[in-house]
Amino acid sequence: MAPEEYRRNLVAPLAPPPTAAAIPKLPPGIWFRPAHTPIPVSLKDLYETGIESGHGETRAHLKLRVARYDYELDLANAQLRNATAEIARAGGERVQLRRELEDIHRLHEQHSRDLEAAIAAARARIRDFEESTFWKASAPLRYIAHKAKELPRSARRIAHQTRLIPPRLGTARSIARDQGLVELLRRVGAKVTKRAARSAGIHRRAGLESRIEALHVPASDAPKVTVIVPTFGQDLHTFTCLKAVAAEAAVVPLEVLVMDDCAPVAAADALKGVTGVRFERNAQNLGFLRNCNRAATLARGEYLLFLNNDAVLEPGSIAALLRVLEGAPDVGIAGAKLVYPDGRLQEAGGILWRDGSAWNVGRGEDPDRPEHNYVRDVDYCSGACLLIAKSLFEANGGFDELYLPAYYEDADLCLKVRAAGKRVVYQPAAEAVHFEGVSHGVDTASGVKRHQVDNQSKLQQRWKSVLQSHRVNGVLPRLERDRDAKHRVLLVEACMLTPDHDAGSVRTWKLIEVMQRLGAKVTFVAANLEHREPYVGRLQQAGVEVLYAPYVTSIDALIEERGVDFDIIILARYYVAAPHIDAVRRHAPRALLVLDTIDLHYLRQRRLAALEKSSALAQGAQKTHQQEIDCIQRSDVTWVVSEVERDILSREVPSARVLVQSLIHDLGPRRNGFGERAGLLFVGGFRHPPNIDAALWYVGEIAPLLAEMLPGVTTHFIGSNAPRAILDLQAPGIDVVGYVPDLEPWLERCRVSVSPLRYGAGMKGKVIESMSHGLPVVATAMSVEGMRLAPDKEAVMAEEPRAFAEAVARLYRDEGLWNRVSQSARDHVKDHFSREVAAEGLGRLFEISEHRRRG
Amino acid sequence: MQAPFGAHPLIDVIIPVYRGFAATRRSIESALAAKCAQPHELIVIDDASPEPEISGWLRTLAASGQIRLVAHEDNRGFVASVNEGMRAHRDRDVVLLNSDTEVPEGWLDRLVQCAQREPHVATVTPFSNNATICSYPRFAAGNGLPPGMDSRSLDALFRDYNAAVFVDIPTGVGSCMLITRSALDQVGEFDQQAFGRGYGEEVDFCMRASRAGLRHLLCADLFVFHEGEVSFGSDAAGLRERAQAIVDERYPEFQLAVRDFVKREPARPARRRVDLARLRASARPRVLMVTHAWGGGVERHVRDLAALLEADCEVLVLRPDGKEHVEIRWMRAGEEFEAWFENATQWRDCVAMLRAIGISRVHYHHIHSLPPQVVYLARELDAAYDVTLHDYYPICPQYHLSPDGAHPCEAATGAGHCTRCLDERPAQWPMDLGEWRALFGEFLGAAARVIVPSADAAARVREFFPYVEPLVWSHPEVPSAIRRIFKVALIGGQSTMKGARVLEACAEDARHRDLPLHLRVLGHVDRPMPLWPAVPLSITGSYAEETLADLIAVERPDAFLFLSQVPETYSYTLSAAMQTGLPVIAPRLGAFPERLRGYARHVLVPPGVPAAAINDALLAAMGAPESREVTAATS
Repeated sequence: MAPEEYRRNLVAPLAPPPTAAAIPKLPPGIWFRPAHTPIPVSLKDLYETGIESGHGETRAHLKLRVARYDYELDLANAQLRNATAEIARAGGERVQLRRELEDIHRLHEQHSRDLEAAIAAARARIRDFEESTFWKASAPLRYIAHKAKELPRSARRIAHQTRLIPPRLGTARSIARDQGLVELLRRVGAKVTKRAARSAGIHRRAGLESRIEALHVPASDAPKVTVIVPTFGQDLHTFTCLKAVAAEAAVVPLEVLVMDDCAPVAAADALKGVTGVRFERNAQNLGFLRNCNRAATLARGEYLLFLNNDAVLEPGSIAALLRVLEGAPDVGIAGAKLVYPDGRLQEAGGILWRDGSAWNVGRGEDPDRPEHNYVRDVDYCSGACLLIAKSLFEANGGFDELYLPAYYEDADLCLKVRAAGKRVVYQPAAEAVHFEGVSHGVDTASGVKRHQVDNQSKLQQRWKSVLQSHRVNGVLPRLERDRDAKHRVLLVEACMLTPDHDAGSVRTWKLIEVMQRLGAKVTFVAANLEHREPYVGRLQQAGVEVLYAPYVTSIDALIEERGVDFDIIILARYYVAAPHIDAVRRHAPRALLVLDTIDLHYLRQRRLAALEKSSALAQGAQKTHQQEIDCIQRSDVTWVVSEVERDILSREVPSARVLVQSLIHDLGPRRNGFGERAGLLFVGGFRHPPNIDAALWYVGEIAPLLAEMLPGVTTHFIGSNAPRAILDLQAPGIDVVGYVPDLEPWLERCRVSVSPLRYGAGMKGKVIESMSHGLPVVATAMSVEGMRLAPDKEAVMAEEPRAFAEAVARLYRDEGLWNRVSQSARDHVKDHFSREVAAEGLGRLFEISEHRRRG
Repeated sequence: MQAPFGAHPLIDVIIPVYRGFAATRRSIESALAAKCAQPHELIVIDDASPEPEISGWLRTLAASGQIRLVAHEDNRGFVASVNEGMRAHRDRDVVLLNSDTEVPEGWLDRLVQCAQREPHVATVTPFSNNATICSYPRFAAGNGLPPGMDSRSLDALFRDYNAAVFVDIPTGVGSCMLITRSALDQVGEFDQQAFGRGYGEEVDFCMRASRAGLRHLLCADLFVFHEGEVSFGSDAAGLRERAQAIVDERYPEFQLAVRDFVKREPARPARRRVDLARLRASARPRVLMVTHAWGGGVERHVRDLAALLEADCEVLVLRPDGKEHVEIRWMRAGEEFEAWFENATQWRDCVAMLRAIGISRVHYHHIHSLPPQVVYLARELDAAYDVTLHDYYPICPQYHLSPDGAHPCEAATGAGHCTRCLDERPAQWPMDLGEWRALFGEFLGAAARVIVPSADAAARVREFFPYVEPLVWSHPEVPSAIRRIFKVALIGGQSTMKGARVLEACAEDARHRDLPLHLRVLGHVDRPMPLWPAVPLSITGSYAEETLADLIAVERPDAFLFLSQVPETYSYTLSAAMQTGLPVIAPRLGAFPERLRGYARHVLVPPGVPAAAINDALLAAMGAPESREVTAATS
């Protein structure tokens, strides 16, 4: 219809506007469009509708959305850039901060050293004063007095730190800004108090008991140890001493002899409330030396512990001393760590110099320093806390009366014992707080000095020939400390040794033991400087010096400071070694540098790359190869674990001196026979990637075949650090056990051990461990690489899944075969992986080292 | 500390004058004529007007004491003039008034009352047709006066319907603005140095005042006409840009505040009250069209009718907005009247508003997504209604007589079938088919007219509603003449090197001269450029090499155009073009001349000729197969 006609039609019936109603009151909201939640449409839908289907409005909307997303993306990218810059800036600031902190630390150290020198001088004066009679009378006041002395000292420390603060305000502000005020306060607090806690803090056992009370010492009828406490008055000291001993009685069967040397007030009276203790009172004053000797005659225990009445034992000390004596038949005397009541070290064993003078090792130092915390042979131990077999004491005639009334009698006894071929050993785990100076109450100050001088010359005269081999007073005390060490070895590994977690640690640990047996003193440090218990404690108790932060600030610093002490420096793994080789060459030019490859890393990576057909991995392996070979070339000696690796290296680096230092395995027991065993065993730490690969391959390819061949037989997977992928393998027939602290029950329980490694390098400790327990192994060639095993004799070998499964099944069912393999395997371990074999290799190393030292 | 507003009984009204005698005269005369209770003094600054008649007339006024005249020897600029006026009496509040305004009766009283309503007021601005954020009828736009109204009658509506209403605004607008003396005292006068010739100076002042904690108010019960951009002449745009840059630099918060204000538009209710009043006052009958929101043909039809009826009626449209609201819009160009009502709670308000507007007739086009009560809306408005059917919704809730939109309904009367069908896609109101048809049977029956656009539709409606007699009116359409357009193909990707810039220029020239040309790129262009329908240029998008022959066949071009800007060594695409025998237009460059030698229909254009020349050559080549250019080129 024509528009005009249409218009006329529409308009025709329209009447003039009606009379409109009044404007009502309207809600104000009606003038604004209500908010609609937009229906979310994905970009994909918009693209399909707008671009692919040609819908114009959608295209326009898409354009807006894309523009908005681009804008938001730009915004996000800008924010990301800012954040990255901020992180970089903060990183730079952190480096700066660390540098400043190190400066502060150095300044602080310097200051502390100055201070300590001043304190030492003051202490000498105080000692003179303490030894006066006035001091003796005022003994109970000392603790309080000590605290009073301590106060200005910490006040000075704080004042010093405060003086340092203004130039560091910028640093402080940035810490406060980046990490919050609490962190800043923590840092400042740590700095002010740190040193105090370490070297000058109040020892927690510093105080005497406040008064003599009732005390029962649970004495044993069949005492192992007789604790001999010589006294002359000082009954509160004696009480404090006895109270500590009483706690020990719960652990070790004891008797306690309180030897009252005819004090004005009888000890038995003064200590009326103390029961379970034998009070022996001399009819006349015998002096310290004869009092002790008399006590020995009264003792019923197998061992004698001479304990001054002003010495307060830390819990567990007697057991720790006993452990040393009983742990090795050649130990004659064990002595404790003595600590001043103010927390500083009094003595960590003693050195006798060529002139007969005696040094207390570590006097005045921080008793927690690592060098004071490993079991160590010493020239002598203080008689203030000394454990000896009663028989040995008597055989040597007790304390020699040559040294009457006192001084040097303990050193003389130790020299006698050593002369008899026994060792005198310092046990840091036994600790006594020693209020030195109280005990020798009958001596006057002048008397003490005279006796000291006299007795030193007596000792020197008697032991001249022995002392001739000792150094002149004060020369190289650090070396003199372990004078008997034939070889001094520093061993640097990546992490703390954890022999219950990985085979590498087992090998290193046992190597250390063999080195010690060959007369070496071993110092161990983890490249990450960690202090991890219980391993540090175990190593220290085994006589290994273990270093760690904060006492060591870096490996390079350690090498700089002490490198010259060592004959041999062993750096384990190329990546640990690489950064420190230069420092060794510079600061320890005399030392033989050994690179312990553990296993050849590049070989392992190269094999993984081949297995995975990965060029990226191959590139990584190439890089490792370059670095590892470089380290080998720069080392004097390279250790590998197998002849196979030695052969490879001798081809690759003909100039390198490569020694095989294989795994060490003690022959385990074999208690259970074929019939008493069931199940299969897979052992391997899962931090080691080849083990993960092996486990996954086994479960994926071999286990299904075994499920048919050996229905109902379970494979147990044991190993620490199992990742999710391994934990998820758990299924019928597959038992993921994870970490076990003791593998032996499993080695006795299972019938066949499997080792399906497809790549890797080095020696597989778990295979040898199985073999040493007579548990037959089915293995891939890779698993037993370098072990020179005869197939089907010492182990059963198979490569492909079916062959592997069949081998397992055969060994699992055939008792005859099982017995043959079991026995051959044990023989093989004995022949190739014993400590004797390891000792041969180490012997060669020491020869090289000595040769180098001489020429 | 500061004197309260109105402390001095007199207010200075400052009118800077430069050029435009008629407007100036109207402005000043309106100010002289407007009766105001508020005592005031008119201070006119003649800033050395280039129009002598202005200065002469002003002198006459001054001589008779009607104004106080400050005449400059030389032109000092708008801002200097304003400042001078504001300095005339340093204790009086002032009103700035441009010389192209027209003020109504009592205007000053209402401005002053507004300033007194609130504490801490710096400026007061009235509504105006041309005052950005204080504009009416369209917000933030320049407006003329609504047809049929003068500034006084419009102001009367503001005065009556927005009595005592005010709104906080981010800045005042200088064409008519009251400034309190205390604000001047606190933040100083206009910044003559930065905004010497005008524009932006009042924003700068207002932002200073805002930062000092003072407020700016829109006086909603006053309308002052402002012609706009008389005093500044032609360089207004440049001035505005420069001023904006300074303001943005000084007050980064300004744009945000304005953007927020525009988004919230708090003065909208005040505008709508006046809109409503104008609708009521209109001499034309009001027609309400009820429709859906689906767009398409119905939308077009409704728009067409609104345009068709523009002179006869005020057309309002009611349509759904979402599922829960209806929207009412006044369809006249230049109007912004819109209102939204929630169906569930505000239907009564909607009806009340429509009754106040006074609806003469309702015209239903669709009911989709509207609430059921819409069926009775005309009855509620006491209005007759027409129904135009665009589909078959009264017959079936599926509207199109198809169960799925893909197949025609086979059993339109089979009850079982229908139940299943409606179970799947229920009616928009909860009804079964019977109830639905009963409702709409009644609805159609009561309509004054039922209009359908075709006889077929009429027959189908009658089949279900025999008592309805639909009128068959085909939709009103002006047949648009289809002219012959020549299609010119360009083959291959069009980069700058291949002549993309020239292509753009050709398209623009064709649009500009409305040439019967369409440029078609067989391929893509190297960057977004204006495309059809903005300009006669379109693209097929990239093609696969082996499909080019078919693409040319499908596209059926009338000629081929090559625009290479660099010498081609061969050009495969030229081969494809030459196979068609159609005219080829190419630059006299590279391999083109030698390859086209002997090809009957070709034109070689010299490189660098204007786009218009290329287009002319194209038209000539397509219009006359043996064109002069061909001869010329080959000679």
